[in-house]
Amino acid sequence: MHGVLARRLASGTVAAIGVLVASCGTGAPSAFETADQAAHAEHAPMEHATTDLEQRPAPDDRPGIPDSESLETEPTAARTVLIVDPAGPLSSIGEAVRAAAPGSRILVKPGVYTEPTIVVDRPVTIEGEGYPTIDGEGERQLFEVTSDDVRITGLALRNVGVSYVQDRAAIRVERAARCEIDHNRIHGGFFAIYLAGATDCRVTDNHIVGTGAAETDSGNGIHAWNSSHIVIESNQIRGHRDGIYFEFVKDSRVSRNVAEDNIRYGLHFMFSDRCRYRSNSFRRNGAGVAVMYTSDIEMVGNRFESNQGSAAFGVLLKDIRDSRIADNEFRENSVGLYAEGFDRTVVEGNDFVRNGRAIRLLSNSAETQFVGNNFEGNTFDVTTNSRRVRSSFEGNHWDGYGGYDLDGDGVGDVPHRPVRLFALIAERSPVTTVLLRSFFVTLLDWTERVVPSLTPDNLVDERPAMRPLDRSAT
Amino acid sequence: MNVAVRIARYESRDVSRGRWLVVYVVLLFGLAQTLLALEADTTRALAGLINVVLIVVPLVGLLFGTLHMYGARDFNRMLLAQPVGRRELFNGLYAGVALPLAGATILGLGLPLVVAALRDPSALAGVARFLAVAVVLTLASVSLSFLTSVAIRDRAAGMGVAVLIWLSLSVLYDGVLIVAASTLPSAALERPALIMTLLNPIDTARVLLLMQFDGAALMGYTGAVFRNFFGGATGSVVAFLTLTAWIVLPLLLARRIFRRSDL
Repeated sequence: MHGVLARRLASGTVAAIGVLVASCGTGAPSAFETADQAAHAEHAPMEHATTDLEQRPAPDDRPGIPDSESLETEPTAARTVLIVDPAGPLSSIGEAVRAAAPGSRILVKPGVYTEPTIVVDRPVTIEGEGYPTIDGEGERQLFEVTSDDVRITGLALRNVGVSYVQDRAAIRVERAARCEIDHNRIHGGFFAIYLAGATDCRVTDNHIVGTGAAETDSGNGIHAWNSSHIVIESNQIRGHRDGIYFEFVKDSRVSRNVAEDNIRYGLHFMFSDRCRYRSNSFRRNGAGVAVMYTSDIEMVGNRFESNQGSAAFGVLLKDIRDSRIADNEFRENSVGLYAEGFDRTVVEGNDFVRNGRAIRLLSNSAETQFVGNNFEGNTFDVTTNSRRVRSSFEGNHWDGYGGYDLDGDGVGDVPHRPVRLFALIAERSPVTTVLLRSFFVTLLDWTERVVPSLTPDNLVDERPAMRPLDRSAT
Repeated sequence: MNVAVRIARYESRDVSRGRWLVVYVVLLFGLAQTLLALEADTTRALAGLINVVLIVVPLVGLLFGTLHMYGARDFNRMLLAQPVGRRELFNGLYAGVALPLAGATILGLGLPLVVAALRDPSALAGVARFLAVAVVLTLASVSLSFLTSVAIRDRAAGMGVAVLIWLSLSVLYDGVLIVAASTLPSAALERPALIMTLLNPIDTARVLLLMQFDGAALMGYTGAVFRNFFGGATGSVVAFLTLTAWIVLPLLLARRIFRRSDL
């Protein structure tokens, strides 16, 4: 398991480090980078991006997107409407954009459009009627947005085609602010929506289906790089490499999305501080969700379900600090929550149901609190790799708890040790997994519970809850 | 009517009238009902029943079958004085013991579980597999008990051996496996571990239930052999066939001994 994990981590890290190196002025892109990432690093220096972006208010506090409101209202006298129709005088969206005055609305009539990449270099709204199709014929990017205040809505985008030298996308936003991409159907985008250096963009209600078969020939559904104040909401993403991918994205919000059946991760983010993830569902993704090298994140009310495999996790957390993971449901994952270098974080009110290992907590995690979680029907509730654990467990409900509550205050009178002896045996010799639920194993666990000698000393819940805890309303 | 069927009918009626079968049904029913009452979720109640079934079902099958065979010695001698073949007699005896026991298992466990599954259809697949495993395990343990009782003439020794078989298969065997697996280098252990598991009917039954209730944990294992075995239908098919072999092979061997032995 570790080998596979290491490879996965390494591939992400190397790319990330490559970008860092390039942006710090050495100018020599690492051999591991794609040509495209190198290009970004050179054209969009990090220092500029961060100083500029950090002054913006957090997305939650924002009253609304200033210019998008006027885009949504009916066209005023000052705004023109251009109608693109396969049969009409204006039959190309690209032409319409080039003809449009800033603030125009381009209405695209039903039909199939095949035309060169549409460069949207001025603030316009491109709106499809009855989902007109824009087909890349497997060989090009469809939209490239380089202007602020662009809205793309109601389009069916397809056949971007695989590229091994370029991160092609159905819609690519390049250093633009306040874009809105909503209600589109994207099928077979190599990358579907790619935000690079975007700020205050909203990506909502898109239906995204990838056609990749392997990690190597597939891009991400919604990919955001070096962006901030992004809102990703109510999208459905399947069949991509990663459903949602964040790298160097700050102060953003990801909510109510469904990412399922993606090849690698449903959600994958690194170096993306102060982001909020709420009420998303991640199902049957190749490796679940991976969250790395980030602090101050909040993951609340998400569902992580049926991510099964030797390197599949409900959530993999690596080097995460000062965060909060609450009221999520982890169901039937091989590992529910995998934590490595997981510090000063609160994990509370989550339900862990029928996972292989509900929590795998490595000993390099410190001061993390597991409070008020429910553990039900997991094969192993907690596993770890050390006898010394520097995180605490309190007030959780464990279905395997064998104690009693004489004073009837709802708190068990006997501490609970969630690490089974058999978990240690299976750790050292994984092949013994076939002996799960054997009577002999039950006896072993029982003796260890009575006289603990091998399981972690201080991994104890001193106040186990007698009854399952209600998930607090959020 | 076929002699074997007649004997089976007589025997099963005899067994069913006995109070031990009733006690068995009540015991299983009580266990299942208690767990279902304690657990809101049917699937979790089932998971709790696994240990019970893997211990109680083989123990009862082994003891009941052995006791019955020793008890039927005079009856057998009497019947064999009539124009009755030993093969028919043996077949009749087995069916007469195994079928009522299997029926008791279905009645005792099945009644509460099926009622629960009707209320919670998500547990239906689990209940079906659970009952199938319980029944096949019953038949296999009765087979083993017949083998024991025809191979060992002395009643007390036979009972002792039956208990020993049960103890070995349900506890000692797994203990040896654990020790072996954790001391040997684990590189090439996957296939041997799987084979060893299938060489024990109780372990085979357990693995069949694991696939239902611990799929997430089994899929978390890195090895390719396990992945292929547990990942698709292969594992279930192979394990069920193995359990069937555990019914048939001891029975054929027992019948062979029975036909040749001096009663």
